Amino acid sequence: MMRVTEIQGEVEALYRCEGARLWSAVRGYSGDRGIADDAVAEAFAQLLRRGSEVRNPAAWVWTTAFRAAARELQQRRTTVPDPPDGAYDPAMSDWRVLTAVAKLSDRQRAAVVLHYYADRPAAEVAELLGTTTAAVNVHLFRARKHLRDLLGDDL
Amino acid sequence: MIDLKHEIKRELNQIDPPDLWARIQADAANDADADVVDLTTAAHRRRTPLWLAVAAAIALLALVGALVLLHDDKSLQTTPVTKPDHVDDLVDGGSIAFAADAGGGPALTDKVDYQRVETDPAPMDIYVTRAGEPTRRLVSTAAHERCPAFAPDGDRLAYLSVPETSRGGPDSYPTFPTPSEPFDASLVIMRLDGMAPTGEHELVVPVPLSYGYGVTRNPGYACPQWSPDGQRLAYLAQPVFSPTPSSNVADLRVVTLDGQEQVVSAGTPAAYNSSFTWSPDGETIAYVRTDGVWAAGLDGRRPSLLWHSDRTPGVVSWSSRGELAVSTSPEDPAGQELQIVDVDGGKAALVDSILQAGSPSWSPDGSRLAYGRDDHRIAVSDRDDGSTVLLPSPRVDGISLAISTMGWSADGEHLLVRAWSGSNLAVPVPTGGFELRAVALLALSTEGDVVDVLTPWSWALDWIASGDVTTYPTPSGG
Repeated sequence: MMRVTEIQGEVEALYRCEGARLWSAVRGYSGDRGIADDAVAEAFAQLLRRGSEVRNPAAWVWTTAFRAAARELQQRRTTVPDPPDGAYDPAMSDWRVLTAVAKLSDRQRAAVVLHYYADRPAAEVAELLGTTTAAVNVHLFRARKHLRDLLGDDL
Repeated sequence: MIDLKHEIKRELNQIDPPDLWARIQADAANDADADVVDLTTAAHRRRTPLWLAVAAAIALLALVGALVLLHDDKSLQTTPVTKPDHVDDLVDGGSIAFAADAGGGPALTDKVDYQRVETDPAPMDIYVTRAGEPTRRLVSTAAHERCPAFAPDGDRLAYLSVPETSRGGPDSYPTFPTPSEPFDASLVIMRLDGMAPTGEHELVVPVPLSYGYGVTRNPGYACPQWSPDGQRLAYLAQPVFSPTPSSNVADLRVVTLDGQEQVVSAGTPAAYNSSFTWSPDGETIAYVRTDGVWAAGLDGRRPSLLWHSDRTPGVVSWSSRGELAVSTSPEDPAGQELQIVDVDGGKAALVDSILQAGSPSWSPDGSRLAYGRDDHRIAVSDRDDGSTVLLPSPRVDGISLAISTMGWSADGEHLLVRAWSGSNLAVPVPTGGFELRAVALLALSTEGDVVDVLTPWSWALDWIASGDVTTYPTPSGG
C-alpha cells in the first residue's frame, strides 16, 4: 500500500518532470493560457486524488489534460461567439506556425502538437486521443496539407 | 524551408509555463468528491491564495490518509455510487449484481471515464444495480472480489474473495496466483436484507487456490454455484501446487449453510476453467475433465464418466429440463463446438461450431440455449423445434455493438449481455467530434432489440466474465 507522502512525492516528481512540456503542448493545442493552466492543474489534481489507482500516471495525465482542454474548447464554442480571425490568442500572433496550427481542426491540432511537439509516435498519439493509429495518420496528413496551404511552399 | 517539428518547438518553448503545483494540491483537496473534470469551477479556483493552498494540502493529507485506512479495512463497506443512465424493471423489479474493477468505481457514474484505458483488472468490487435505484457498491475491500451469486431465494449473496497479495502491485501485470506460494481465497456467504447487506458474513470458507487461473483471471463458469434448493454451494479448490495449467488439478467441493464441507471429486485433472453444473434435482454435479464430462453424486458414490470426448471440453451447463450443453475448450486447436449430450446414452448432437468462449446459457425453462459466436453475435437455439436464430447486432444510439452472453432474466424474456462497440471505440457523435464507448450490461429482447442499458458505460466492466454477473430473481434453469 502506498503511503500518502509517497503518492504526493511521486505526483510532484512527475509534475516537475512532465508538467512544463504538457502545459506547453496543451497551450499549443488550445491556444489559450487559461485553458492550459486549468487542464494541466485538473489532470494532476485528479492524479493526486486517485493515487496508486492510476497504473500509468505519465500517460494518464496527458490524456486527461487533453480531454479537459478539448471539453473546455467545446464549451467555449457553445457559450461565446467565435473570435475574429487572427484573434485566436494575441500572444501567439507573432508565431507564424502556431498561428497556422490554430486554424486546424481540434483533432488535427491535437495530433500535430502531440506528434511534432511532444515527439509521440502516431500509435501513442492514438492511445492518448482514444482513436486508431490510422486515424491519427490521416489527421497528420491532412494537417500538413492544410498547413502547406497556409504557410505556402516553405513547409 | 520550415522544419515543422523544430518550429513548433521553438515557438512553444518561448513561453514559460507557470508553476501550478500549489494550485494542484489545492484543487485535489477541493475536488475530493468530484469524479469528473469540471473546468467551469476550476476556472474560479485559479486565483486560490497560497494560504488556502497550504490549508487545503493539509486537508488532502488527512483525507487520503483516511482513505488508506479505509482501504485496508477488510470489513464490509457499502458505498453508494451515483445514479446510472437509467435502470428500469428488467427482471420484474429484480436486481443484478456484478463484479467490476474497484479502481473503476468512480467510472460507474453516468459519465464514462474516458481517460481510463486498462491493461489489467484492478482488485474488483461487487456492485448491485436494481430497478429504479442507483448502482451501489455492495462489497469493497482490498481483496479481489469476483463471482457474485444470489441464492435462489435472494436472501444471500455468495462471492469469492481473493487476497490482494496475489497481485504484483498497482503498476504490474497481475501475477496471481503467486506461483511459488499457495494462498487462500475465501468463499463468503453474506446475508442480504432486501438488497442491502446486513454486514453479517454468515459463512467464510477458506478456498486454497494454488493455481487459480480459471477462478481469478477469468472465472467464467468456474465460479461457486448455488444448488437449486439454495442449501449448498459447489466450488472449486486447488490445494496442490501445480506450476503449469496442463498439470492443474482441482477438487470439486460442496459446503452447506452450516459449514459442513464435502469433497465430491478430489484431484481431478482440470480442463480449461474447470466448469461444473448442478443437475436440476440437485443430486448430481457434472464437471469437465480433459477426457470428457464426469458426474459426481452427493451420496458419496464414485464419480462416473458421462461422456467421453477426444476434444477438450470447456463449459458444461445443465438445463432445467435435463439437457446437458457442452462446449469445446477454446484451448483446443481444432476450434470450438457446442454440443448437447445425452446423459443417458452418452451421445452428443452438434449445435454449432462457431462459438465464443464460455458462452452457453440456458433459458430458465430449458427451452432455449443462447450462446455467443466468435463474430460477437448471439445465437438462440430453440430446443423444441430445433431451429436456431442468429440475433442481429444490437445498436445503441446508432452504434453497432459487439456482445457476449451473460445470462437470462428470470422470466426468460430478456438476455443479459455485455456490450461494447467492437474494435472502433471512438465513434462520431451528431454534435461533432468523437466519443469513446466503453462497456455496459444490456438487456436484449429475444429478437435482439436493446431493451435497456442497465449500467453506465464504464471501463470497469471490460474484464467481467459470465460468472461475474448474477441476477435475482434467479433463473431456475441449470
